[in-house]
Amino acid sequence: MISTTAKKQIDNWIAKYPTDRKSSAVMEALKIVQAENENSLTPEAIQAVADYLDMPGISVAEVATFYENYNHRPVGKHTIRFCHNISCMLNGSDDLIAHLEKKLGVKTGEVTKDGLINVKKVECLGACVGAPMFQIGDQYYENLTADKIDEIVDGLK
Amino acid sequence: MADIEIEIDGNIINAKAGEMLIAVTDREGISVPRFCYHKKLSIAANCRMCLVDVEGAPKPQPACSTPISDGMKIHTQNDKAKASQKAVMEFLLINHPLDCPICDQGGECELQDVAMDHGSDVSRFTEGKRIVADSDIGALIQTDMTRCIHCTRCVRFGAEVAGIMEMGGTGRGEDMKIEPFLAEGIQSELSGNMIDVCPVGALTSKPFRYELRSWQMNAVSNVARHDLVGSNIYTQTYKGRVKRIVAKDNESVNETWISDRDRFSYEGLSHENRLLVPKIKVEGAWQEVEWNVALDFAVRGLEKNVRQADQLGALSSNTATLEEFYLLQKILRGTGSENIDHRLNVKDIDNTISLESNIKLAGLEGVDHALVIGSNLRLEQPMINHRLRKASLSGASIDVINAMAFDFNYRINSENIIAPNQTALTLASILKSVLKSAHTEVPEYLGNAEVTEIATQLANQLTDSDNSVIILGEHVINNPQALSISNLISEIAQKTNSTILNVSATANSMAAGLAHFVPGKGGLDVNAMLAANLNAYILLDIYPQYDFHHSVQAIEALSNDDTFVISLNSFKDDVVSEYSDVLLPIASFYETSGSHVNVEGKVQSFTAAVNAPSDAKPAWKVLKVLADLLELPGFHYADSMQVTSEIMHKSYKQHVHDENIDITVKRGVNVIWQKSPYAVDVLSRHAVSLQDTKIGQINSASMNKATAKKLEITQGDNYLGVPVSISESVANSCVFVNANHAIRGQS
Amino acid sequence: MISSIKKLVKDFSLGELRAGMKITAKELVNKKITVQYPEEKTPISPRFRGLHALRRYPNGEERCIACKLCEAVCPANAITIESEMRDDGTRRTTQYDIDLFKCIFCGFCEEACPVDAIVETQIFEYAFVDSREGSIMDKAHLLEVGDKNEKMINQTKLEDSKYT
Repeated sequence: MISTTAKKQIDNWIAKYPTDRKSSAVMEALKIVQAENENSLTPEAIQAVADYLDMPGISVAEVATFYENYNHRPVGKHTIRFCHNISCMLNGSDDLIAHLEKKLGVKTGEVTKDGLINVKKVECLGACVGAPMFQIGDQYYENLTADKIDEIVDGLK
Repeated sequence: MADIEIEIDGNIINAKAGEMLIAVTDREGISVPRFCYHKKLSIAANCRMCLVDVEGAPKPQPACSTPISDGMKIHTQNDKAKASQKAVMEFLLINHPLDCPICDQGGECELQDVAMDHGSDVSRFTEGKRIVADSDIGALIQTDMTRCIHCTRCVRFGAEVAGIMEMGGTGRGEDMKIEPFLAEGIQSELSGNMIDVCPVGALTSKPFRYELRSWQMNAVSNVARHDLVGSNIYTQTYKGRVKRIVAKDNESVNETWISDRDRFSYEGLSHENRLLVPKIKVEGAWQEVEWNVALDFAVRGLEKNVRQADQLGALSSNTATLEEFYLLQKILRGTGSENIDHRLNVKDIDNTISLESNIKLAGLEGVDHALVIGSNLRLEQPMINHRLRKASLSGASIDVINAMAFDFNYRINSENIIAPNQTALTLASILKSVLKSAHTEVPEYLGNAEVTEIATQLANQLTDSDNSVIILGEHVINNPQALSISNLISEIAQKTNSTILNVSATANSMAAGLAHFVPGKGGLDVNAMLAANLNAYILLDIYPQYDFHHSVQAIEALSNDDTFVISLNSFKDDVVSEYSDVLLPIASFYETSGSHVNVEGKVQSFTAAVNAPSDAKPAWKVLKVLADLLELPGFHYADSMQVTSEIMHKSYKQHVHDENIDITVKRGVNVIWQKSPYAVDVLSRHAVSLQDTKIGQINSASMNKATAKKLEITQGDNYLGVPVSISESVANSCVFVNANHAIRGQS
Repeated sequence: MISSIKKLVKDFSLGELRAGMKITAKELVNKKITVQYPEEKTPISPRFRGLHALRRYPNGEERCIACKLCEAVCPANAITIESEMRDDGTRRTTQYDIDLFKCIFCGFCEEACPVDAIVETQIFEYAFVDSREGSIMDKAHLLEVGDKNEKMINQTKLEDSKYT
């Protein structure tokens, strides 16, 4: 389940903690394994991480389900993380999300048929100055309008 | 810790510095509501129900995680405390369903009680409540996770007590759920305790589901007889039936926990297989008769068949009570026979374990080192294993010598997989190493033993620790060198100042020893009896395919036409009715008064919780009447307590075993034969839900590839009627059989 | 002397008889209060506590969930319930008996019921002429009473709802 490269990466993290605290590396390990498995974690992947770190499966599942950035369903190649917190909401994020959903033909949480894009509503990303905004990968896109969204989305490959 | 004074609700109370506040209030009888706090579990402080007002603190403090200090002033009942408790209660009830009328916890629910005391009568929450999907976690525990209040007691129980973390809290915020990972079902042998610790109706007993409300039942204190602990329980009865079993606190025996076997075996009591009416066999056909007819028939049969006293034999299963053992041996000795035995599963009585335990159960958790020999302790003696786990958690090192790798729920220092025929040699080299390092003379019989590195390590562990224990388990009783092993262990224990815990016997066999239920001078042991073709037997609750080591020979010997067999049984059994001439229905567990003797020798008496069904009678009464009909003197007992006190005034000399030690390795394949954990006695075999669990389905003959090749069998074959499982965790030349069903053809 | 003369006059002029006849004559024309039972009946309060009934939901499902609160609250121990898990996983009664010999018609069962399953109807004319056994009402019997009188039960509950 976990490739040798991933194991090596995880080992790097394990080395940073005391020898009897392997489990401290669980978050990084999950991140590494998720990156390897099309950006989502299956129960098998979670169990594999648990076995690798000598932890009970449920302990790893607790961590994996606690944090937003671990996905438990298949995601698209690009995840549009659309802020719908107060500043963005006041600046019309609800309408823009509806527009995006209509454009992509999927609801938030679903993946487009070609497996390219999925939309996720998230809380404040700290870019209120440019609200409404969303994030794709590491990139923030601010001061969004319907036209701007069309342009950005059409540019995704 | 120093004694300090604190003030709670205006009263001055003495306590130890650093104690948690809730421990003090509990001791003083001051009521503080709580959900997540449990005296045997770690402190989570996540339910916030136990908030109390501490003077000087700006906010109310949780009593469960507030250590006390000198001069602290606490108010558990003032406006601030009450307001915060009421607020927390309101929060907890936001998502708790109002389904108390159909909830099995209703009437014994902590949430219900606390809501009555601290809650508000009208909810201000008008939004929809959340619903949580249930997961099927096995045959014993029913889940209704919508009712869960996330106290995490079950999670902590699994992680801290059961030693297998199976439940966990996934998700967060409103999406948080308590659930197992991968939904494989809970596999712990102590899982039923989660039902007891759950403060709400989220985890309830599956076999008991929707049967009764808690207030309908009577609780009778009782003692479970499935293992060597004698866990204290409450049998909850309704209309003469045992409906549920819950744990009863007894710090020196089972603390607050009981094993699943003790908790759920009661289901067998109402199994359709119960023997209900006395029967006699006339000309090969069974007739149902009245008790007096059956007993007359039995007595006449004995008179006709037993011309010489030593032609009568008595055998008993290990689940009998102390009183039953005593009365049966008294009858035999009254008639002049010494053919008495209960060690049915022993291959050779002259070559088996005879060691006395000299450590208390509570003492077990204080050891700093343990050497476990020949035991799958977790499944065989769950509560003893729990004590050892506690020792391990507080730093004890535990070494294991087993013929197969088992799943221990604590850290094992070294697990040594050693073939049965090498066990004696290994112990000999440990002894030699001990003697050598003490610079003592090495006796001649240890001459051949080579001091290996492993042996030195094991020996050093024993010598270096101040408080070590050697635990000897069931797998050794039929070892070809069992006697030598037993003698070696007692030598090692003596030389290393270790205590001994002998868990090689099962159920209530300690009581058999106390009642002197063993052959006396000139008497025959079980195997000798069966070989000697006796004319008559009295058998107490025996199911030959399960109970005898030499089951085929036993059935053959008992089926002999000239042999008159009186069987006292609680359950029907085809083989038993084939060879018996009289079948007397007797009471099973919880239906008779009597006593259990646990591994430390503690005698625990109990009363009958219910009457035996139909015509079945407690065995001690049957034996008493039988003795009266045989006109034997000294059987004027009005109740079983009189028998108990008679036993307590007697003492028997222990049989002296020969001290011979032989450490030569015997060649050949050794079979370790053991009943599965939930097939150890007739009652648990009939407990349907227990049989449906993972542990209940254990049924395999494990061996490694080399052994399989030698025996010319492969995976999927049957060996001795049990499916073969090939595993490299088994020692060489050893087959480890864990059988959950009756076997014929065992050698 | 004078009083005895007065008495004589009164006696001979049939004064008391006339007073009596006056009442008779008055009642002859007044409205009668006697009820000709069984042809006529007195009005019954919606809170009247008569024969018991077990009710169903409009979809036909029985209301009772075997919580046994009525059994627990019954001061006369007149109710006996046994429960089980029905095949669909719901909690249901297998037995629901009310012993009318024991019942004191206090109405606590109705008050305790969380799902308004057990009710006391306005029926009071139930004599068990055929056998005394009839006065132990079992579940089928109770449901039958409920089914037959659902309309009446609904009506009385509605009337009473104003005052609860």
